[in-house]
Amino acid sequence: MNRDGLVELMLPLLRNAVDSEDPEAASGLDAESRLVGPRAVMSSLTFVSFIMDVETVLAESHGVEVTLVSEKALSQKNSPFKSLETLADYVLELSGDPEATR
Amino acid sequence: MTRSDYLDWQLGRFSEEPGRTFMVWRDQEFSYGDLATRVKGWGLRLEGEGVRAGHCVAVAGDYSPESVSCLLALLGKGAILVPLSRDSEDQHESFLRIAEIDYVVRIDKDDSSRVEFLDFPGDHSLLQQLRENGRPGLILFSSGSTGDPKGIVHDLAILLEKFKKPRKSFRTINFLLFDHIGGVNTLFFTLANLGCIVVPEDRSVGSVCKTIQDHGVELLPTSPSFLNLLLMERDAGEYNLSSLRLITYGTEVMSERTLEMATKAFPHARFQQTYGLSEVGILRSKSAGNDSLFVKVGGEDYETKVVDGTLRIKARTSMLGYLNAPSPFDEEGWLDTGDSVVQDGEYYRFLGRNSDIINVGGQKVYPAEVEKIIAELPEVIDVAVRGEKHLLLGEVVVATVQMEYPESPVAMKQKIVQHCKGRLQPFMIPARVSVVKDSLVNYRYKKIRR
Repeated sequence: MNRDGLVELMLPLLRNAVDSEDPEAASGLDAESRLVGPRAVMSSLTFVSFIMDVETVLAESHGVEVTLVSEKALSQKNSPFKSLETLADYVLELSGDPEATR
Repeated sequence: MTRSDYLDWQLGRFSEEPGRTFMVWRDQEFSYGDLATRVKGWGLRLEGEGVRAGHCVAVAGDYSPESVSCLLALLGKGAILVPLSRDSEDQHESFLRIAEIDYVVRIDKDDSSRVEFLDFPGDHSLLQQLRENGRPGLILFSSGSTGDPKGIVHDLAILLEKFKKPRKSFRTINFLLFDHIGGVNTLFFTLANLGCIVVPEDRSVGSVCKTIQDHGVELLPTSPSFLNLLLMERDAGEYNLSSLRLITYGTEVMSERTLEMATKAFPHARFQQTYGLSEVGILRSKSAGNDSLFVKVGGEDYETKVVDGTLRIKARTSMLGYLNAPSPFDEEGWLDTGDSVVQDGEYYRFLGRNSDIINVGGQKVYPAEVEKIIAELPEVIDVAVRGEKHLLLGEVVVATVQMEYPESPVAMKQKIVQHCKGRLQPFMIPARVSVVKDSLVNYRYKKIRR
């Protein structure tokens, strides 16, 4: 499991999530698209749904059980939810940290 | 009414038609005359074992000639009855302790029986109250889906009084369990009106259908979850269920889809929603129509009102209290049922238990509303929706779907999201989906959400 592999894994999930809200926006998404904040590509509801898909797929295909939205994630100086790249970095960090896994 | 009055009245009824069938059990018919003889036999046997008025006596088994005779004999003695079904066997030990049981009568599947003296210590004030007033009692246990089971104490004489008013009797399959308020209600209603209790071998769809067909069952009192299973598993034409005249459903929220399918599947049957709680008994009810989820509930023993969208009931047949929890009644005797309703004149529509309501970022979601939409997908056999705690939104909606050919949860979720779009508001659409092959109902045929 590496950063590029994770981004590749998460991009179709992001496209699906965004597609349910705004099909036109879904095709233009990439690893740097903003996941949260004022320029985010989706609503907070869809963001939560997308993150849960990521958790499900990580558990299913990699046996990695993580809770991505946590106090720890929200208190980081640099939000892990900026983009798929920062999220991939955060997943790698969590999967190497036994205390961060469920 | 003193302790043996009801039994005297009931035995008087039996003697009016001793040849009439009171029960079909193991494909064999038993008459009211036979029942009266058995009740007297049990009276002598219990006397010999030392059972006296005011003793707490558990009867562990299922509906059978012996279990029903034993319950009636205990009622005649003025004992406190504690029916326990085999399905809750793993909880019996704790039930016996909570109910401070003196004796347990164990009725086996072949209807053989043994009486054991247990003498659990205790002198709970509610039980003492029954003893001091010379009243027979009934203890039931809440199913405990959201907490520890609570021991519910009734004055049985008050609970039974309404059955003295004659009503139409049916050949009734005793689908609801032996230790369920609905099951107790069906039993005493049927006996009081000299109806016939038909006991299925078990409560699987096949067994229930076979029993209905073989014994011309007219009344099926059941739950929406069982009706769902029945509609799904019943092989069209395999069983002839045309004898059914009345199908009553309660214990949980009915979905529009299930009711619509059921009324089509049984065009000759009337559908009647029932409502009751272990704490107050079963209310008289009248559905607004065969295909309507609006129902009028009440009757001479009950008053109802709606406060903040939740139904409250004041009943003459209210329990005396819980054995192991504080009283849920307010000073005037009203019980907050925790059931969310919408009101249309005299009719209510039940939306679900308040404890089941999911709060997504301050917006309410009723699981039944979401389940109804997901269940429209043809590949979904059944679905249970619940809330899951979430740091950002408080709670999110999660769905567990039962499928014959399970597929990946994310792929299934995509299908569900697409289907729900435009049918549900965005916050009601499940954020997580699990896929299972096993059934989503428990032994009481109620949906497992938690």
